[in-house]
Amino acid sequence: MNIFSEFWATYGSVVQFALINMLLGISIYFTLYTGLLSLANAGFMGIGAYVSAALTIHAGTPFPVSLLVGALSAALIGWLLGLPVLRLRDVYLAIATLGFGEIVRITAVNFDKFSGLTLLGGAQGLDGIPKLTTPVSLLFVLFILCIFLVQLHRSRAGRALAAIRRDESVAATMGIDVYQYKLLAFVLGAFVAGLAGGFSAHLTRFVGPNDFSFSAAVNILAFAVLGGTLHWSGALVGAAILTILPEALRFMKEYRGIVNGVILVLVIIYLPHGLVNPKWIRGIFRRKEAR
Amino acid sequence: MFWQQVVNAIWLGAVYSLFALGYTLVFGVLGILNLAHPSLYMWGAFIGLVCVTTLHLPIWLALPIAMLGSGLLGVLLDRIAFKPLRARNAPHLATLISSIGASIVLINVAQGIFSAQVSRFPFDIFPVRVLKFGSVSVTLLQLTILGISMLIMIFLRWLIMGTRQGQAMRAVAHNAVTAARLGVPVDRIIMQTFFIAGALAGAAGVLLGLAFNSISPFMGGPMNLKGLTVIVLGGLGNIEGAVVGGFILAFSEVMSVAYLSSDLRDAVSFILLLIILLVRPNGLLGRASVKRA
Amino acid sequence: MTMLTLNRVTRYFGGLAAVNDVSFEAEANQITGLIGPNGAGKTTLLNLISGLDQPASGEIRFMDRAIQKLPPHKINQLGIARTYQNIRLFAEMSALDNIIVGMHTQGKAGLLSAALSLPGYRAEEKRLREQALQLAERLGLGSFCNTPADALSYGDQRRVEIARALAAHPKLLLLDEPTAGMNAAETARLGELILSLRDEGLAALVIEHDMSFIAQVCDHVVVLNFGEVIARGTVDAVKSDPTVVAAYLGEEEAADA
Repeated sequence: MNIFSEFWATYGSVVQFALINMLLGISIYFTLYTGLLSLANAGFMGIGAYVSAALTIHAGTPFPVSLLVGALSAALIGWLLGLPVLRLRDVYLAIATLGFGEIVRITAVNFDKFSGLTLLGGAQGLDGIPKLTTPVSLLFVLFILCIFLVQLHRSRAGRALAAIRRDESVAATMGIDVYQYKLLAFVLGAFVAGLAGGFSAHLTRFVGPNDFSFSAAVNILAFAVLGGTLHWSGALVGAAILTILPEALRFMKEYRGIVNGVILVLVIIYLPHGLVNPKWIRGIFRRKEAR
Repeated sequence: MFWQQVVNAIWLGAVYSLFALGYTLVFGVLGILNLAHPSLYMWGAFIGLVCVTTLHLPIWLALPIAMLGSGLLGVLLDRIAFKPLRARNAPHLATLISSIGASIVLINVAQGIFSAQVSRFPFDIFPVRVLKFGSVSVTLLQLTILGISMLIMIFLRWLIMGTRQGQAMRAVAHNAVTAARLGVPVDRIIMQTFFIAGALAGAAGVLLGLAFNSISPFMGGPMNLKGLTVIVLGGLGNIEGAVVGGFILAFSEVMSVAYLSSDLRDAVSFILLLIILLVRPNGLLGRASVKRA
Repeated sequence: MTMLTLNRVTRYFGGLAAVNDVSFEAEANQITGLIGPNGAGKTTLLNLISGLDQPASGEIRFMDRAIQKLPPHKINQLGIARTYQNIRLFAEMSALDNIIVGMHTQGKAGLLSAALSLPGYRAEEKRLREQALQLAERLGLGSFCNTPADALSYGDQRRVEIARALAAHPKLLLLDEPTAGMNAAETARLGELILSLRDEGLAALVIEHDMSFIAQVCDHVVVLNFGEVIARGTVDAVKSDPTVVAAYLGEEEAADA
């Protein structure tokens, strides 16, 4: 017990960050699994963080309510953004979502000035958020999410998303409403990113306008790409490795940016399916069924 | 007041165009959206800075050296991040992610070497002289930047439309497989394309670095959004479009700062980008003039 | 009864008419052949009917409804399914999963009932799976159900594609060179299958180069050349039509040259 508490005192926050990053990895997995490169997730995380933090501080709502409203706000904005931009094809979608984090930043910085309220704290950000995120709450949400993902992939909707990634026009000629399903994946991703934002705000006790920039979007992308986007567990593995490794290896912390970048390039070139290959997982299940 | 803004917009537009030309050229010839292009711009600025401060070279020599450096960096980038994917015929998504990874590496390496602080050119690197035309004032630096940008753009146009290299480049843009069958050295043309694109980005880096006298590893970020806006405005892969788009963006920015609010400057390009994507995703002039010509 | 009507349909590619002023009908309960030399515009026509492409002018009616402006998924929901000339299966999915994806319009379970694993969702999944298995059996794919699609032989892949299209329970099936890559025995069996489907009430529009296959299955043939209809009628009537003979001879001469 003593050893455990000692371990927790040193590494507890790292574990919690890893769990939050797993949520973020899953948030971008939804779109990547559908074959969409959206770089808006850092922005959605920002929306979830700001909304939930402002609710907790200014309205005193219970943590689960703040969290849920934050995530729903991110999903709503995701829906509004997705309506026009998901009509665009590959490169254009990436371009259209690239600047979204910047819009969130500009809005956060200027919101108080233009509205005359003191809600988001302008350029200074929101400070003094109560620390309400617990490892148990994170694990609980992650667990629910994993069950949801398992069920999603067994369902009609999950098959439609997989079909769209492989061949959009063939999927369409099979009666799949490609646009609506893309919107579904996009909004689901926004919701989960919003959740992650809420957890993060109530863990670090701070939300600033500069936390959701392009480099944050790239970090999230790296989680999913390293782990692989053919199976949802890839996002978990990728997030865990990229959060814990820099803590374990000092040099990696200093060069975190370079490591992330090199990983993106190397994985895409030499390991296009990422670390987690669904064939192995299916193989394990087969063996079980055969028994 | 108004004419002063027009003058400001003209030289700024020229540099935006210069930056965007390389961006759009690579897309036009190879169909790659190279999100590391802004990092080449940043590296160009730093190479220019090192030439001036450490090597004590005059600025007129630093500019071509920076262009050469960032051009070579562009070629290296292609060899490492894009060529293996091209060989495998990987999807768009993979190329985009690879270019994002490469840009992160380039930014962080720059941060490691030059520090994250803002660096500046020495104050006396360029004669400070203000020319007055009635109520409108222009600095010699702005005029020089405009002149150099125009010269480079005219040179590029001649290169693509008037030389054998350009002809080969257009053939690759049209169809790399057919071009190879017709004896076009496709691999060499791709290297040249990346070299030219990198050199253009580097030139824009030095010139804008001089104009705003502020160089940092992160200067590519805001420029990326501007560059994307410019090339989407003009139509992805469209050379003339990039020039037109550069001026449109510069005018929109300068005018909105002058007459609306300076808080809006950063939002202008994104709003413009969204509008054009939704209304005319192929840009004002249509796609890929490299291909059509 | 007329199932599909094309009325003066035209589609240009870069100023050239790939399909030019094409009009014909496909009857219910009939197999209509679409033949013609390479580049005659047959696949373009199939893309126009299935909604992957839109005509510049003209009208396409299906069961008395204009469909030329509808998106592909709506057209499929109305009852048109298709296969592709260059097989487009979901490569690493199993043959059975490919068929189940094709059953998209046959289910209605929403995301929520799937997430909560409600009885309705489970019953539906079971039903779809059984139907997919039956379809696989019927197409002679029973033993490859769990094989990834890209590990199958060419002929088997073609049959998976046909099964996937049939999974949507279409009223009209569009087949783009279904026998390409099949051996003689497979081709003959496919012909029998198509005829038995017709007897069950399915109509089909078949692009094919194998004239004996066309003769085996088609009730009616439309001949295209350079994007235009040059002949229509029964297989025998069309075969002896001098313009058709000239069109095919022209192609052979070009191939010999």
